[in-house]
Amino acid sequence: MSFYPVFLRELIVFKRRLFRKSYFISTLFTPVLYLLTFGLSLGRRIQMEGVSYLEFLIPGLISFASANESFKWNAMSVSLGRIYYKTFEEYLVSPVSFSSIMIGYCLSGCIKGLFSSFMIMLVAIFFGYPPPADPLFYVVLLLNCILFSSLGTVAGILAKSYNDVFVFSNFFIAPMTFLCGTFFSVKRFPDWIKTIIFYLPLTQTSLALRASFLKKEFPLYSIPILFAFTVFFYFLGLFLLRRKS
Amino acid sequence: MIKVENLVKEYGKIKAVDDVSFSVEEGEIFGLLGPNGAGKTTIIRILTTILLPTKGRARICGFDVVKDADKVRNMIGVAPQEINLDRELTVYENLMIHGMLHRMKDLKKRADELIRWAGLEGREDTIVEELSGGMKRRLLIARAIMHYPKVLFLDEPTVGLDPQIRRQIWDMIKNLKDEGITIMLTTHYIEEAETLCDRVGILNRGKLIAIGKPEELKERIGRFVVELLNKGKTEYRFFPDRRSASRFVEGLNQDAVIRKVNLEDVFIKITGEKIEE
Repeated sequence: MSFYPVFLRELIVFKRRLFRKSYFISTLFTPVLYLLTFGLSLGRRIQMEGVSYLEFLIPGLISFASANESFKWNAMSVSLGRIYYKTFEEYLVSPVSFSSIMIGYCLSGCIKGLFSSFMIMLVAIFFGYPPPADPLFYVVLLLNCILFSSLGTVAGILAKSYNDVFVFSNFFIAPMTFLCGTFFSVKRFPDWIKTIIFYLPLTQTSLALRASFLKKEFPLYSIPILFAFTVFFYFLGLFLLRRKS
Repeated sequence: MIKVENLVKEYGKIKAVDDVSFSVEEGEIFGLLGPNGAGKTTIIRILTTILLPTKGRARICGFDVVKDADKVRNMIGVAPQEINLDRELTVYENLMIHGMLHRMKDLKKRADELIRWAGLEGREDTIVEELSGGMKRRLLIARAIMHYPKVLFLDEPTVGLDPQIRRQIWDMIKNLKDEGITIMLTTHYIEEAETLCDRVGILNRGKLIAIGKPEELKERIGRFVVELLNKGKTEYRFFPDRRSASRFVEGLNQDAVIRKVNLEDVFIKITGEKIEE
């Protein structure tokens, strides 16, 4: 349980920010904007993979928001703590192990991603789409959050300045959010791109969440792929922490 | 309690710490005095297990700072130069999280005790961001001793504070010494080193150029100093007593100041430079 203080710290800050109106609204703002612009304007007229675009979009938005928020929270928190506020040194001079630091961050970033996902599910109810009952949906969602909060931690450790977080986000996260079947079907890309995109973690999440959401056949292979990425980013973070200190 | 042997830290070709050896006894306040960039913080960072030395070794309570870093971390408290309190947490939360990181029990009692000790009663639930500079510094020290460390490291504990608040911090530090904590601090304030430290090591450009009790160090160069202007530059002459200093001044055909030597004079005598800008 030695990860607990690291986790708790992030949770206290999260809770505190949550009660600020601006934060609450901004977390909801982007997904609601997407739902309104894409979903409502195109949603009822355009079909994608055999369903209305709105139906296609909701699980995609959940994958996007869970990945993005988990990543962003940790990348910011770790880089700010390391570079500007130096609070990260508190962990380094205390007897807390690197793996506890990693676990603490991965779990706290995950909470942030889950929160955003649940907010979208809440909004989706108003559009007439209740949250799916399939437990696999939630397994994949959780895995996706842990995966991207590990990646966010890695970015936070690698960053030399605050700006690097945005660079990392622009080059890795932004392309994934558009290419990985979140907003558009992967099937429309040329074959060779499709193969690369298929193995990106966010594609697996989109595919799995969408299958679950639309009550189609669930791609069970997604879970081991996502799990492998999570383990990889976790150990990468651990390795970088050791090397940097 | 602290034993440093032939410590070297290189950054490329620059030697930030150059073959430094010293030891600190139990219950003592040891100060590293020197100008900015002398290598004081680098030494503290090595001793507190944040940086690895290039060469040499350092032990705290018998444990090597590299090989037994975990054991060392349990024994030490650190208040770094840059205030690294968690500014998004309250005073109380800062202490609690610190205690949890050190796997403490009885957290609440200790936190309350330290909030009183640091004169922060009524501020328990204030977000750190909203505290004054002096309050932050007091909380930083309180947090560093939360887990009852045997050795406390204070890196420039009063940098940037008003003289009155500086004295408050000094009282806190003396108070900790009375409780038996071994303290190592760095400073570039002469008065701080003279008032607080049992022994002082003077550092310049990574090298330890003198070490001893403040009184002994001063005695070595003479008790009195004459400051005189020579071609627009201040010159310093050292004398064993006031009489010989006065005699020297009488023989001059210009104004000069006679005063007791301080630790800065020790630094000037050895390096020809001043410590405080």
